[in-house]
Amino acid sequence: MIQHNLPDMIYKFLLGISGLSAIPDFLLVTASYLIPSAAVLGFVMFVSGMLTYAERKVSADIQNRIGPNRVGPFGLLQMLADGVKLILKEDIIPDAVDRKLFKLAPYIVFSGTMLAVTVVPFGGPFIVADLNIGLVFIIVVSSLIVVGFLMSGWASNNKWALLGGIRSAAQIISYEIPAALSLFTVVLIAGTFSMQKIVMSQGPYPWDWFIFHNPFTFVAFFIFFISSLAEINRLPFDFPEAESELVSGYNVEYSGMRFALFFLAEFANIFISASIAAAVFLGGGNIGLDPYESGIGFQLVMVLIFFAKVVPLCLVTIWIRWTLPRLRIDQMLSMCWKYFIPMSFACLAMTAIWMLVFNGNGIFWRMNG
Amino acid sequence: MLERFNMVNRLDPDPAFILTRLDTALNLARANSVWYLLMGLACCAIELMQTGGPRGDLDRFGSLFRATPRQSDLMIVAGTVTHKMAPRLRRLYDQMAEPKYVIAMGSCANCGGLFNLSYSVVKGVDKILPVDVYLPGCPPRPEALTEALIKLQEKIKKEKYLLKKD
Amino acid sequence: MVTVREYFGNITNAVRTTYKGMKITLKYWVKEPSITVEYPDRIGGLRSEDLVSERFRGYLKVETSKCTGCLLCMRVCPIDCILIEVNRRDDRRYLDRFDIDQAKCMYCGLCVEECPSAAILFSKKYEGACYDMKELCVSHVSSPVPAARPAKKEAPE
Repeated sequence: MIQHNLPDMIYKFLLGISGLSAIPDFLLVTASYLIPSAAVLGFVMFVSGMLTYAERKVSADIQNRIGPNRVGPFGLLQMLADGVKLILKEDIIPDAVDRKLFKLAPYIVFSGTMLAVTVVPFGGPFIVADLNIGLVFIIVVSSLIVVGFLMSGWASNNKWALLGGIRSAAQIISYEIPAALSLFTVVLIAGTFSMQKIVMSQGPYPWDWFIFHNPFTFVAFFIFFISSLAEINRLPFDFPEAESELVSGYNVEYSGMRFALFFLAEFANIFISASIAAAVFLGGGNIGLDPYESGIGFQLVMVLIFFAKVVPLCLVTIWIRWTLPRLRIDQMLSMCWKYFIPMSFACLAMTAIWMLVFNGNGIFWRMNG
Repeated sequence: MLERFNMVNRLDPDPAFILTRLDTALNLARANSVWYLLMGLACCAIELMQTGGPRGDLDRFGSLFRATPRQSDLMIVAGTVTHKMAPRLRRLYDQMAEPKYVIAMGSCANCGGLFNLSYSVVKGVDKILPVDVYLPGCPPRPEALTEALIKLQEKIKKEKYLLKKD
Repeated sequence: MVTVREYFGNITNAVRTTYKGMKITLKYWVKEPSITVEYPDRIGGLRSEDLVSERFRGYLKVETSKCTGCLLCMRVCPIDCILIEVNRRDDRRYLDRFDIDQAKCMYCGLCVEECPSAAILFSKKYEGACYDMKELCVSHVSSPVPAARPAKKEAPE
C-alpha cells in the first residue's frame, strides 16, 4: 500500500531490496530520512548556484551588456569557477573578533535556510517532511537567520558590520509579521497548516488557485511577496548589505568559504520564498491528481509544473532588484509598520468575513464538500 | 640496489602527474573568477568604471566588483597614489585574502607618471605593493584594461598552486 | 500624521511608480540589444586598431629615417620620457639612442606637435600590458642611424 509520506515510501522500497532487510530497522529508517534530505540539499545548492548565474545574466540584459559568456558554453560553468575559487581562498579570521560567534554565524544562517527547505513541496510526493504545521515551521525557522546576522555583525568587531547586523535584525523581525499574516489568510481557506494539503486543496486551473479566491488573497499574495523580499535582505530592502553605503554590511570581514555560505544562503532563500509563494498562492504542483497514488510520469509532470511557477517568481525577484533604488531604513520600517501590517490585518479579517458570508466559496472557486 | 634492478622508475611514477592536472583545473577555476576591488583613486578610475560598464564588459570574464577587500582577489590601482593615501593602500592590500594580485593601471600607478617630479606623489605603486601586471596609458582604454586582465589570467593559469617546491 | 486620503494616495503612488519603473526595465531586458564590444575575440573581424578613432593617441612611433636629431621633442617633453643621444662622427650626425619610456608617457602630444619633420607620430596601438616594467621602455634605434638632413626652407618672396 502506498504510504502518504516520502520517507515511508523510501523505507518500503529499501525493505523490498533483498539483502538490505538484514540491516537493523532504525538504520533503514534513518537512511530513508537522510536520502531525501541530502538529495534536496544538494538540489537546492545547485539551484542556488544557477540563481547566481541567472542574476548576472539578467542584470546584464537589463543593463545592455552581456554577462559571463566565456567560461563555459554561454558562461554556464561560471558558478563552478566561483565556487572553486571561494574554496581556495585564504580563511582570514581577524585578531580582534569574537572567534566562536564569528565562526558560528554563517552556519546558523545556512541552517536556517536549509531547515526551511525540508517542508517545501516540490510537487508530487517529493516533500521531505510533510509536517502538519508546515507553514508555521517555515515562519519560525526563518527567524533563525536573524540570530545569524546579529552574530556576524557583532562578532566582526567592525562598526559597519555591527550597523548592518542590527539593521538587518530590525528589518527581518518587522517584516515577519506581514509575511505570516498574509500566509494565514490562506490557512483560513484551506483549513490546515500542512503544505501538501494546502497544495492539494487548490486545483489545476488558474481560477482554482488561492490567489484568485477573493480579492483579499490577491492583495495578500503581493504583501507576502514583498515581505519575503525584505526577509531575505534583497533590494529594495538591501540596507544591511548595501555595497555603496556599508561596504557589504555584515559580510565585511568574511572571506573564502564562510562568505560563500552567506552568499549561497541568500540565493537559496530567494528560491525558498518563491517556492512558498508558488505553493501556497499559485497551487504549485497540483494537476488535479493525487500526488501519491499516480504513476511516476504524472509525478514528474507535477514537479515540472511546480518549477514552471517558481522560476518566473525568482526572475521577478531579480528583475525588481535591478529596477528599484534602495529604501532608507526609516522608510523601510515605516512602510512595514504603518502600511503592510494594517493591510495584512485587514486582508486577514476581510477574508474571515468573506468565508462566513459566502460559505467558503471564492469568486471562481467552489468548496469541495 | 633499487637502481640496479631498475625499479626506481617503475615504482615511483611521476608524482607530479596527478598534481599537475589538478593544478591546471584549479588554476582554470581561479583564473575565470577574478573578483576585483573597487580601488579608484583618480582619472583612471573613470576608465575602470567604463570597463565594468556596458561597452567593455568585465563581467564576461567572471569579474565582479566587490566593495570589501576580504572578498576580492585583484586590486586594480587606478590613479595617482599620494603620500597621504599610501598607508591606507598598503592596509587594504594587507587585508586582502591570499591569493591576491595587483594591476598597476595608468602611468601614475606605474611610475608616478605625470607627477613624477612632485613632492607628494609615490613614484610608482610598486614601491609599496608587489605588482603583477603593468598597464601603460593615460588613461588606458577599456580594451587595454581588458587585455591586462587577460594577461593576468594567463599568469594565474601558469601558477604552480599545489606543487610549490619547483 | 497623514490623512486617510494621503494614506491611500501613498499606496497607489507606490504601486504606480513601481509599475512604471519595472516596465522600463522589462523593455530593456527583452528588447534592447547589448552594446558590448566583445574584445578580444568577437569584434567582427576588426583589428584592435580599428576600434579607435582616426586621431587616437596611442603609443608613439618614430621614423628614424626622417629624424634630424634636433632634440626638440626631448626638450619639450614635460616629464622627460624621451632620451636621445646624437653624436657627430665622420662629419655626419648619428642617432645613437632613441628611447621612449611608454610607462611614464602621458600622451600629451607636445612632442608630436613640435617635431619639424613629422618623424615622431602617434600610432593607434594601445595594448601594452606586461609583467615587467622594463619592457615598456621602447628603444627605437638598435644601432646608430644617420640623422636625416633637415629640409631646406625656401626664402619668402
